[in-house]
Amino acid sequence: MNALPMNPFVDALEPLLRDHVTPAAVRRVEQGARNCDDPGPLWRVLADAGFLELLAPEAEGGAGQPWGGLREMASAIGRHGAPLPWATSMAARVLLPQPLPPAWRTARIALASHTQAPGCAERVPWGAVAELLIAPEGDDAVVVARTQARCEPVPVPGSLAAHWHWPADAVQQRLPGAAERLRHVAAAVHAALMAGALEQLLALTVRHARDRQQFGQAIGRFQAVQQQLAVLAEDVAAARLAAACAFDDTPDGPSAWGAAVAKARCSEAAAQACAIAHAVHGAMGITAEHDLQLFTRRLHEWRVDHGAEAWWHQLLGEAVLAQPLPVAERVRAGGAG
Amino acid sequence: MTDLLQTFQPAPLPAAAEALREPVRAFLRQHLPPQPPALRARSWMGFDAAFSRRLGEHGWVGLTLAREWGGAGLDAAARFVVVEELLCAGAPVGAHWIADRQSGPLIQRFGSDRQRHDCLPRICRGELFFCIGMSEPDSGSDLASVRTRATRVPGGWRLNGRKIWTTNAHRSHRMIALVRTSGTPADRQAGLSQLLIDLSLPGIGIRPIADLTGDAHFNEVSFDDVQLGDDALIGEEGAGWQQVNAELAFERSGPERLYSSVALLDAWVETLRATPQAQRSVADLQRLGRLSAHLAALRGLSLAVTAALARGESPLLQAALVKDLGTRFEQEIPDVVAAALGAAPGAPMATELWRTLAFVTQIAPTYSLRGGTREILRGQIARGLGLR
Repeated sequence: MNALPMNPFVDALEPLLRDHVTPAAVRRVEQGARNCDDPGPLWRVLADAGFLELLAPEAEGGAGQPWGGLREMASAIGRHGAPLPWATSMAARVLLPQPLPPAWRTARIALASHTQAPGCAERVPWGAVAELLIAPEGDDAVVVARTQARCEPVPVPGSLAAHWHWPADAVQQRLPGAAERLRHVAAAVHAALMAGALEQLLALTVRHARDRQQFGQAIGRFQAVQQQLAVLAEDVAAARLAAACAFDDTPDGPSAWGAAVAKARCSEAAAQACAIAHAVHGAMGITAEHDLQLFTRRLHEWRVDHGAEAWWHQLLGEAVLAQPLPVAERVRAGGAG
Repeated sequence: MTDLLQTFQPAPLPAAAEALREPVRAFLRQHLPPQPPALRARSWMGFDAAFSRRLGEHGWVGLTLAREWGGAGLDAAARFVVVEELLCAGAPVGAHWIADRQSGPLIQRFGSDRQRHDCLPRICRGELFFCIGMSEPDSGSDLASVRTRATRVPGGWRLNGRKIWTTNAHRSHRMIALVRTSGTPADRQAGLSQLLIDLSLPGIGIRPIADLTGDAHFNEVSFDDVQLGDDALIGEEGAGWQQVNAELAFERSGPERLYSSVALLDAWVETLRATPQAQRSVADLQRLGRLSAHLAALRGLSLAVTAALARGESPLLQAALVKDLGTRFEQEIPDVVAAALGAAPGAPMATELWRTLAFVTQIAPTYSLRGGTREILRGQIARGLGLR
């Protein structure tokens, strides 16, 4: 086993995120999402730098990275609050036939993993700021353009989600048999984003515990607080490795098993992690001014998007029972099982 | 803090390590007759000297020790595979367990050549069994307060005091004990040393302590004017605390922190599989799926720490984190299975499943006591986060 590998793509992405995707920039996107405003230059910071083509083949001008290369990129985006659908747009490259039509190459692409009625996907993540939607239709997936759909932002302050409604003739492209794969990709990307957001949540909470003085000392000096932060760190670490299950050893996209493990564990971690983070921050964590809410609001939303843990747990339970293997062996087989 | 998480990168097992899996399985098929789950659940409490010797003959004890001492010269990843297979099969590994995991590597690293010659080849043959003397009647989590004392005498040491909760002391040949060699308990970590003690010496009393499951695996060990030679000291005098800490990274992160309750989980899953699909409850599927997701993440974390060990790092904090998370998982299994079985009081339940559930339920509190209590580990994690 060698030293930990470096990731040049993440090293290139991080400074852009740090300089441009600031808490103030995230708040501006959230403000604009009420009216489905075009997020303008913020989107282009990453799009112009070519990051959307991370997974596209080199022959098509992409970086030719395998599916697993997306994990750390998505987590980095999650660490910065992911106000725009960069990660889903990168991931869409494994769903859409290459090369993409020129008009789609810099498009903001959202993913819906379920429809509630024909031509209706509710609470699409980044639905308020997306230009294209990939949604399931029976066993297929379809690509819908914003220009031909009705987009209704959800009435939750700061949410970037929107209900999408579209007529049958709005479908731009049909992806035969891609519905299941779409669900797995959507869950995997969400999990990687959540793992990143959870890391930021831990960092913010630790910083607060070290800075905030009560009873004459930093609250992080109190064992009651320390024990909670240790649990938070454990769940953040578990989410990180669970998310990796959706990107391991699968060059073309997530396995059903890996996506389920990833989304289930990250969703479960999110609820408890947000509770601890808010408990430690006290009342100031509830203010609009504090950056904590940029992450906890998103994590609670992402937990439910594309199925919360209960949904994926059931699928995993069925998968374990389907083969006459000891549980540990089935788990070890992962996506290859 | 970033460092704490940075270690947790996906670290698939190298092919060379994976290559050990099938031979170990073949060995287990041959030498481990099918056992009821309540016995399998005892695994690293299970003690079978003949089994350990046979394992040693195949070169799978002392796997990480150097070839010159009879070891296999392999890394932590190879040991992970062997141990994972042994534990998942519920093999009785208790006899050689401590020597293989901790005492052997400790002696190789800090011991004298004489100690190495004396111990390591026999450890690797599965013939020399070890226990660890840490806790005392008045020193549990506050390990630095140990009072067992070794005093310099001509030709060696005179040892007086008591150790308690010493797993398998009554069946082991040697103990490595943390004792005070200078100063007083008020000096805390300073003045502590590690001694290698032959448990057959006069003045040593070993009293097994029955536990609530009906087993007796831990002991109280008393030392009354026990005469030890000069060569009993391991490593440096006064460096016992640092040496113990180096050892703990090995103790806290391995597969044994994931699989303590898998025999129960598998026994429950067998009953679920036997239930017609239409009659399986969604709640049971979700329970099983949740535990599976947790295990997948945990194993990933444990592998990441194993990879760090194999790189020669000493990821003590990361190991503490994996251990606490691992014991949370291991302790949840009996809780979840009891809740699932109790949700259908009219359904028949195999007595063997009930017996396994009872054993694991009763012993599970020890998971977060042995090798460092939950509260101590969380305190260490907090220190790693920069909070203390």
